[in-house]
Amino acid sequence: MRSPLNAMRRICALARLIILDGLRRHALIGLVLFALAGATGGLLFFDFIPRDIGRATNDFLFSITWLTGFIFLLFHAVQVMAWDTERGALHTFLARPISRTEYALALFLGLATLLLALNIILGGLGWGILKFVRGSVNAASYFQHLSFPFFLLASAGLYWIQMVILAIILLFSSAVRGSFPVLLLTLCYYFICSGLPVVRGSIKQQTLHGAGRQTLDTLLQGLTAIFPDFSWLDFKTLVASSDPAPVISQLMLPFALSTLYIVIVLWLACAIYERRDLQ
Amino acid sequence: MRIVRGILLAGLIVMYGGLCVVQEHKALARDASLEFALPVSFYAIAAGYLKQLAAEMLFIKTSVFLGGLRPGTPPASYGDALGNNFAVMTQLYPRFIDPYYFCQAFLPPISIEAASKASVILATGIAAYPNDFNLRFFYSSNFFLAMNEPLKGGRAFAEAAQIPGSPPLFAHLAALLSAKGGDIAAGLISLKTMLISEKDEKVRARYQQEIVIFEQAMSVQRALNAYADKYGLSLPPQSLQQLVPEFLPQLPEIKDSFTLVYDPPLLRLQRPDRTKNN
Repeated sequence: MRSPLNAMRRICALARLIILDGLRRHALIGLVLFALAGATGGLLFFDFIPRDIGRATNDFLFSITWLTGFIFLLFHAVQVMAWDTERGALHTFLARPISRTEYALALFLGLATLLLALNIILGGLGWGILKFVRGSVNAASYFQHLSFPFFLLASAGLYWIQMVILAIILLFSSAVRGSFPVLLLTLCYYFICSGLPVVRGSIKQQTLHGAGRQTLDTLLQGLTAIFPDFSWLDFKTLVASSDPAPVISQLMLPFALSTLYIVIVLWLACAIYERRDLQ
Repeated sequence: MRIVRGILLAGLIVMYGGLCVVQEHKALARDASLEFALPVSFYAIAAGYLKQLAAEMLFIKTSVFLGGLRPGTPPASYGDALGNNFAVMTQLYPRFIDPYYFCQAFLPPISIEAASKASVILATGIAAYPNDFNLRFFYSSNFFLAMNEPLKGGRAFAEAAQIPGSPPLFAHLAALLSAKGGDIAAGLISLKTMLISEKDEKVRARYQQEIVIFEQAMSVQRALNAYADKYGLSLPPQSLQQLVPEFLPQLPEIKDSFTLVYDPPLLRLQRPDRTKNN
């Protein structure tokens, strides 16, 4: 019988290997340099914003962090997680005394840790740039609000979205062979998640005017449970603006919901890994 | 052989450089055009988490176009695209304030249709920032400055004047525009309300003077109503003189700060158009 402590040790050991592999493949430093170049180029961008400089700077920096994380997920995490026969990593790891569930969880843990490190570095840089931009303009007129707690909240929200996508990549990797199909499925998943609220809004308007179908609205509502609305975790507009702050329950619910979603998706991914024929 | 290859490569590079120069000359001579932005839903789906940045980038693209316009470019050639793009960026990110200022500066002077589009865009801004007096001013002033709809402007200013801390100018403009649009009674009520809350004696004196004029105009309006009661709404008097003496002993003498204008069947009280004197 395998003890949970030993299983945890094996997961952590493999996660460590995955982190080291990521560092060796310049997943972190390369993306940090990419983000830095983007943020530097973005400083030119702010010359075109005459009034709402704080808001635009903040949006831009979070967008850079999001884009960098998305590149990490699609071009590093997918490569690491996907079951490509040419890499053979899966068979090598499973030749060791480690279960498939432990392997899947270690993959997730290792990549989530790398992603966290990336977000912390980019968050630190972003906060520094925000302070710099605020100090270089007339803050009372153009950059009145800057909140560190909301910056942390927005960063946490962003990380949670990335974790959901990471979990989904693991699920697709468990079910589909090859990194390219996993990448395409992940992109489809992301666009459905972004598009579903727009479609629902449109159907809702039609329903209000008596032209929409209630059943379709209900179906789309059910689909939101599978393709979550990420905008619930998007708090970046609160950082540098006077936008009304949400109450605690509004903050806690999306985090709790997406945490449960991640756990369920990981569970499914592990279950599929356990039953799959690896030949 | 190596020398021939080198010469060939150098020739290709020179040819490429020449074509680049030609293309750049053509680009400089070419008139900039503003493309229609795609619908909001497209941006919302395609950009996802980056939708705020997408709105800001669309704003930059539009403002760069406006900054690079050649003198003499007819505004009608880009008015529709400009209105569409401002509408898209503000619907995508209603709390981004810059587009509203650019929209007010560039859209209403183009045409009445463009001004009407600007009103819709500014309404989005007011929904996002209900207490922003600049947006309220843009929205309300557009009605009478660009759309010749003083009554709507008066109503918009009256609504803005209800916001705590609003400048007294709003209520005053609400009164003046209501009267200009033909609703003299509403203007009179606004003036009387302002008089009650005003502390400054000089301003109070001015309001009292205006109230007297508005009441004079109201006496004419009452006479018009009585005329309509007797002869029917379909046969309004062709001139105010027809009201004297049956419905009004004599026409009031309105001071030079206002003019009583009668466009049958509408009676309006408006400021004299000083631009015509210059």
